[in-house]
Amino acid sequence: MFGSSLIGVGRDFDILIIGPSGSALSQLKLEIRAAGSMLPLDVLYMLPEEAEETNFLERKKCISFEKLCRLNNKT
Amino acid sequence: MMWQIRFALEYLQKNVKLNLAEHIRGDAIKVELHDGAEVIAIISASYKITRELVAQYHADFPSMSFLCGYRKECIWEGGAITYAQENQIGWGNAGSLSDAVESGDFMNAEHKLYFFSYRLIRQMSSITNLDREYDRVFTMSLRNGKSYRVGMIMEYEPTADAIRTFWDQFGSIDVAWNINPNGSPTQQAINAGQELGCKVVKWEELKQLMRNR
Repeated sequence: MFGSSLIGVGRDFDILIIGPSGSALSQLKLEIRAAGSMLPLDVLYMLPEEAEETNFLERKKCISFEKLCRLNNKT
Repeated sequence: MMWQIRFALEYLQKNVKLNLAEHIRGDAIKVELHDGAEVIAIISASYKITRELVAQYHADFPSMSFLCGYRKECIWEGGAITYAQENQIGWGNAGSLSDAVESGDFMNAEHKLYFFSYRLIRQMSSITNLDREYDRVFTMSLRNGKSYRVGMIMEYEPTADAIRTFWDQFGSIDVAWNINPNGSPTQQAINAGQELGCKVVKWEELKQLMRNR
C-alpha cells in the first residue's frame, strides 16, 4: 500500500501490485475488481522491471500488506 | 445507502466549506453551500456513464446540478458528456464535485483529470475536428489531413499494463498521451505501445506529431 490512506487521509486506498503479466495477473485483476466494488481501491500494476526502473517502492514509501497486517495485529 | 454516497457525504462534510450535505433519495444528495444556495448532486456507482443514464437521472431529478461518477474506474461516454454540458449539468469524479462545491460553479464543472489536457487540445489551431468518444478518448483530424485516435493516460508513470489495459478497454489507438505532467511512461510502457502499434508520448511529442506535415 502507499499514498495518503496510509496516514488516514484521502479518499482511496492506493495499492501497488508487482508481478509478471499473464493469466495469473488477469485472474488477480478480476478478484481485485470484485473487491473494488465495495471499496474505493486505486490499483497500480507494475512489472518487476518497472518497479526497479521507477524506484517506486522507495519513492512512495510503500508498505507490504504482510507488514501492515503485522502492525495491525500488534495494535 | 450505498458506500459511495456515504463516502462522498463524509468527505464533503469534513473537507469542504459548506453548510449542509445530506442524502435525499436514491443516488441524490443535497448540498447547501456556504452562501446558502442549495444544489442537488447525483453520486453514481456506475462503472460507465452513458447518455441514457444521465438522461434518466435528469428525468428523476430535473434540478440536478452535478453528476458524479464516484468510482475510480468510472468511464464517461462522449454522449453522456455532451448531454450534461447541453443541460448545464456539471460532470466528473469525486474531486470535481468537491471543487464545484467549494467554488459554487457547477455548470462549468468538468472531470478534473481530463479538463486541462482536453482544453489544451481544443485550443490547438492545427486541429480541424475533434470527436470525443469517451472522457479519455478522442479522435482529432488535423489540418494536414491526418487523423489520430488518442487516449489520455492519466497515470503518473504509465506502465506496460496501463497501456495494454487501456487498449483492451477502449480499442486500438494511434497515440497514448500521458497527460500527467509530472511523470513519464516507463520503458516497458513505450515498448508495449510499440508492440500494439501506438506511440506513447508526452505533450511535447504530441505537439510535434500535430506539426508534422
